[in-house]
Amino acid sequence: MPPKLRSDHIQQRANHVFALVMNLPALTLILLLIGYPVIVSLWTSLHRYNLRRPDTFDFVGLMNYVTILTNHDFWHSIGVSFYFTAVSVPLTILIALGIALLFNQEFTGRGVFRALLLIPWAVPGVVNGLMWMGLLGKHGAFDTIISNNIELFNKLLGTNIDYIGMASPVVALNAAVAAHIWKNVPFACIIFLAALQGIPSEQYRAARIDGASTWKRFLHLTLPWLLHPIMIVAILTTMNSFRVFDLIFALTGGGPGDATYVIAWQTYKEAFGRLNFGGANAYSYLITIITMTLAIVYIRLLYRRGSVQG
Amino acid sequence: MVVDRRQFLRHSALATMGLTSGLLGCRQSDPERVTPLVFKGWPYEPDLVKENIEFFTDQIGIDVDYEMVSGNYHDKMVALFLAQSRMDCCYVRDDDFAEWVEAGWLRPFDDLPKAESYQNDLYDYNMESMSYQGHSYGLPYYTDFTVWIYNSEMLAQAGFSQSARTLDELTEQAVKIKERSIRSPDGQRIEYPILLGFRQSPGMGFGDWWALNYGSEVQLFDDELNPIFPDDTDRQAERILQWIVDGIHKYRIIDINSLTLGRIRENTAAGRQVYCLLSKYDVEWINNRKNSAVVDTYLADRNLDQSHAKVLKMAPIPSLETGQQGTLGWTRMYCLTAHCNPDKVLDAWQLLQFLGGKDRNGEYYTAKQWFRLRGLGFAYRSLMEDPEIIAQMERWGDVGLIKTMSKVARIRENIKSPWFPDFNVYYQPEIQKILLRQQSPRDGLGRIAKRCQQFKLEWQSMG
Repeated sequence: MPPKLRSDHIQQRANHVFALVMNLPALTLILLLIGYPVIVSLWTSLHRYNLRRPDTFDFVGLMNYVTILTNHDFWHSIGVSFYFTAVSVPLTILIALGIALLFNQEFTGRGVFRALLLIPWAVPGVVNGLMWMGLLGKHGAFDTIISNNIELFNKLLGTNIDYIGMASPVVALNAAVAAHIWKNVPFACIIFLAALQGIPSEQYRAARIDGASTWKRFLHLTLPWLLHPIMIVAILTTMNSFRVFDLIFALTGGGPGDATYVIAWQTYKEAFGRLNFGGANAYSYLITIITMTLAIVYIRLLYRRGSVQG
Repeated sequence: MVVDRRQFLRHSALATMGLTSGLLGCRQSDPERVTPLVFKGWPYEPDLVKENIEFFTDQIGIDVDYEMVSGNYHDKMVALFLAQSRMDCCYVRDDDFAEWVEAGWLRPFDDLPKAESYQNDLYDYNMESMSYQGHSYGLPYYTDFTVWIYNSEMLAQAGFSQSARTLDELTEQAVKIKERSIRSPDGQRIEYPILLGFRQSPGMGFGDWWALNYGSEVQLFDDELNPIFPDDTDRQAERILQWIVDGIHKYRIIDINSLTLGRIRENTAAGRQVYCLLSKYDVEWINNRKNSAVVDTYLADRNLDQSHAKVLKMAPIPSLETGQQGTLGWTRMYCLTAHCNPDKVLDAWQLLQFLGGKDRNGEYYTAKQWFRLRGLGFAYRSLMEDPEIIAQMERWGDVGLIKTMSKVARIRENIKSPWFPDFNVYYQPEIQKILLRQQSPRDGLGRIAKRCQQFKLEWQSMG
């Protein structure tokens, strides 16, 4: 090897080592803070470990997973979580997209409206739950309006509903979905707004000159540019929706009955209701596997179609 | 002046050494330094707790660090116990008591001086709540039992002089109240005369289910803690649930929001319903005009200038048959923790006695303070004979009934089983599903009974 090349090679290796050394403290910290709990959690999930018998730590292999997968409560909570996710993700995207398209137009006070949009996002999950409870619970605004008009409601729709409030399983679950959407729309909206502002205006001008209608401009120009952000929003909101906990904790407490028993709530009850940490860790891993699978599916389905921007 | 690298390092090393030796010197200069006792509790009236502790320090001369555990007390305490965080005493709810003893987090005090001196004066249900497998672990912080409450003014408007004694009579009264279109002080029509507490809560909740069962003298478990329901004597547990289901869906006398509403006390004080079940100590609160629109309206209409009026009255819990009586009792207690510093056990025991037993003068100082200032229930029979306490109780409650109920109150039969937390997590949604008519009372109770047996077997296999 010529001396010049050898010297470059040595320099390159030294650079790599230097970079590694510089990153070592951060890597060690990440391994300690993330890697260690993840491994301990996996290890615990393979043991029978209930805090009411803290000295018993028996290796049971996959027994905790088998127990969960053969339990009706688990499949019920999976069903509730999937419903929650299936309703909240598309609605979040649609509403956020609509608002983003609106806020992308020039109008007076646009800045103020954009700032106001952020408020729901800034509200903590538990506060969000309590606020919606105030709205939808007994003597709340919705409850008062609906309870006073339930006969009219039944007459108009031809239904025979006894009550429409948080004590109704259907209402409680969908109220939780609504509260979740309300909180997550701003985040999605910001991502869409950023993406919309990145679309070159020349392309719109060209489309107008070619006589494309508003709908066609949206379908063939705006939407392809937004597919990538939509994918990101879809992945993040799916994960958030599937793991929703704080809202359920504050708004419904899992009830009425088991109508809002999402998977994270089930995990919480296993961990802190029953103190069954072996089982609760297994639950956590199952949630992780499901959300990871969903994310991979999204990426596979949407990545190529959303790669307009390269 | 320019400082080079070597100088900087030398000076830094010297400074560090100086600082370290200084700190060590300070530490060594105070060999008699006393570590205060660590006492943890949930944040109920922390200023009053601090006052009590200051009084203890003045009287006994032992320093105490009182630390509030805000948020979910059970979950945070579990984390603190697991982390072996230092604490000598803490509050314990009877719901968590067996769980914490089983986990080895609490210390019995049978071996400590005067440990038995309180036993004879405690009510039976309190004594039972605070002991486990023959060992005493707790002294009472406060305690109470569930009572039936009715709005005597609204009842009078419907033509009744007293609350129903049986569940059937109660249905009749409630239906009549609905027909009379009685209104709350803020002018709202009483749509549902009865509000019950069936909101899910992992650590607590559903006391009303137990209270209604005990009101009808239902036994739910046998001595081995096998569930007797749904085939208990005369299927009483099933009949009680059926009565609630009918009350919600057939007669529309029980508010369906009983499944979600947490603030029953506040709703009762506002006059939004006629009947409910409450803890006895809430009776003082709801009959205080400061808190209660019902009482304030009553007193204002009569130009009376007093703080309390017995408008929201106490009664025995309506039962399936006449002559049955009973209620649910519960206890909040002070316990010594297993992490208690061995050198501090006697000090901690003195604190425990001051807070949950007698002070240096032989008085139940703290229990009396809690009752006097906040109406909290006490666990000692002798206090029930105290003229000052009786006089205060007379302002808002029925002393005779309180004495009777104190004697017939029972703790949840399976509360001290190791599988109670499992049961607690499972039965609440199942009962709610019964109340929502998603399953029949018999099927629902059958499912709960089956699961109890499974929990029992699981725990037996764990040894």
